[in-house]
Amino acid sequence: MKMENFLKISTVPALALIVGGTLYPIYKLVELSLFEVRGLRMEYTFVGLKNFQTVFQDPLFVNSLQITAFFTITSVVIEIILGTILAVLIAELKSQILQKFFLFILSMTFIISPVAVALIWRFILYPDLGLIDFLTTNIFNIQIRWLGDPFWAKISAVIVDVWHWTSFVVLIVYAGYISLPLPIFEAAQIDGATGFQRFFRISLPLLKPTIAVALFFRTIDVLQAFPELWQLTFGGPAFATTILNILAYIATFQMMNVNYAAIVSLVLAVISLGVTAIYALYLRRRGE
Amino acid sequence: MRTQSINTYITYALLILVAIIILVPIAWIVINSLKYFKDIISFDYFGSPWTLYNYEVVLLNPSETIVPQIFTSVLYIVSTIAVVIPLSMFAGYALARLPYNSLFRFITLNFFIFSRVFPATAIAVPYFAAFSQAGLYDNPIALIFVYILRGMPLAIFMIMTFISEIPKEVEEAALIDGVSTTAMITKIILPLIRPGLAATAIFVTIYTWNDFTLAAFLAGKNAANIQIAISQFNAEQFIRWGELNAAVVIAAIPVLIFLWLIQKHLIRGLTFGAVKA
Repeated sequence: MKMENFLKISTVPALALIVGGTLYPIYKLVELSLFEVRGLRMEYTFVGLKNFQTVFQDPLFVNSLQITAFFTITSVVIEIILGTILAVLIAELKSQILQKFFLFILSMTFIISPVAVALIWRFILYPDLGLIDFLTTNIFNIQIRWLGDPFWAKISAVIVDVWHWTSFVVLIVYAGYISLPLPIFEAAQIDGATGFQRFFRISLPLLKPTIAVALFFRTIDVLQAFPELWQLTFGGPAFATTILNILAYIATFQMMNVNYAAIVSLVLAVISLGVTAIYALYLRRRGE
Repeated sequence: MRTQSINTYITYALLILVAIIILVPIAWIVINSLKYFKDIISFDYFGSPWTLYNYEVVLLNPSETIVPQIFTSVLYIVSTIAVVIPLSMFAGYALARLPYNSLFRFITLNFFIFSRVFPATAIAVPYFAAFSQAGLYDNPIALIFVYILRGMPLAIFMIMTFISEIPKEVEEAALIDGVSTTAMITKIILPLIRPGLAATAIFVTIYTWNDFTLAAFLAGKNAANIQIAISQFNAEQFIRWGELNAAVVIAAIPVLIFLWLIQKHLIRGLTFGAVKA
């Protein structure tokens, strides 16, 4: 009993910091969304739901919601499918050294900072001097304005996120896959199941919980991507890549409207918590 | 083994293709960081000379150097680790040793997950307003505070999983010898999880070094970190690619070295201990 109390007390400093440091901004977010902040001295006037009305009726906000949905769903779906396939291919390599080698190469992408990744891609997609722009124009003879066209800018954003984060899915699924019990696969092989059958009938169902973890983390993090897109396209052209986070940044520093920014980030927080609730429900149904 | 009979040649071809897709953009940046601007824009790679000019500008030119921001980032990392690791050590030990059905443990762990899921911008916008009001905008101390806030739950989770892997017998033996609980943590547990602590510290380092979002909202010129510094070479219109590429390479080198050091603990750190491998 005394031991348990000691244990609880030793969490207090860390907990106090995290709880206080997280709850205060939530309180502040609510305050910022219900009050209007004016002037350099930042005077607060209560305005009720007026700020919400302003934001929700702004076409820019609706546009951002749609772009965030497109960017998140497209990137996550591609990353999960591609990541799972690559994980299984790597895990099936006979040589341990080669497995380690490919996993290391893959890990390089997500360890590099989002700003650096954005700038690497901004450079190779840039008109006239980028490697990919050079290849598409001179070798395949098609003019694609990767960063300058609203449609292609969205596609570029997805490509960059897939390049940046598919490896994360690979690593997680790989770890899940190599811990699957071998005897089931041997039995299936004796029964004459082909490789594809074993993958779809045995591996995939058994990997479901692992893929769910990857899916959860990727959804949360793509929703909250910011530097990747901000440094790639500055939210443009014509707000084509202005996801919610970029809108919050623009609202704070270009529109100088911190109330607007607070509501945008509050919406993003609610969406993130919704995704988390769905994942928690899934875990509960599986009985964890 | 498990799925096999996928044609091995196709597997190799695919994996090599993936490796190329990953390595070529990185190599491209490195090559172009070693070229003059005029050779970069004229797409002339084979005839043009190699140069360290861009690195000289980025490191030594007094008006363009990113060295001060590198030091600022190092300051953030050192301060964050100095607070996060000791506090997380105690909290992680407690959470690893509290009974699994403990309500306190359940609520605490879920709150950490909540703080991991809560968007960085939803932290940054209100703190921007609060810090501006309190005169703390662009103050390094404000940034250290938010880095501690974001790093701590991760550190506690990681340390907790490392401690729960230590067999209970070790502690039981020590208890019989009459060791106090504080001594237990510092004298018995600490040496056993030293590699885990190092991995945790490296993870906090990588997150702090790579952060752009929090710094973009809370730092002006004074408190800018390395990521803000390299983004200064980027622009909507005219970009100085040589300097930009050199800055990107400089920012990427330390984390690639760290990657080499923490390969074994990567998955644990990335998933908050949700997947152990």
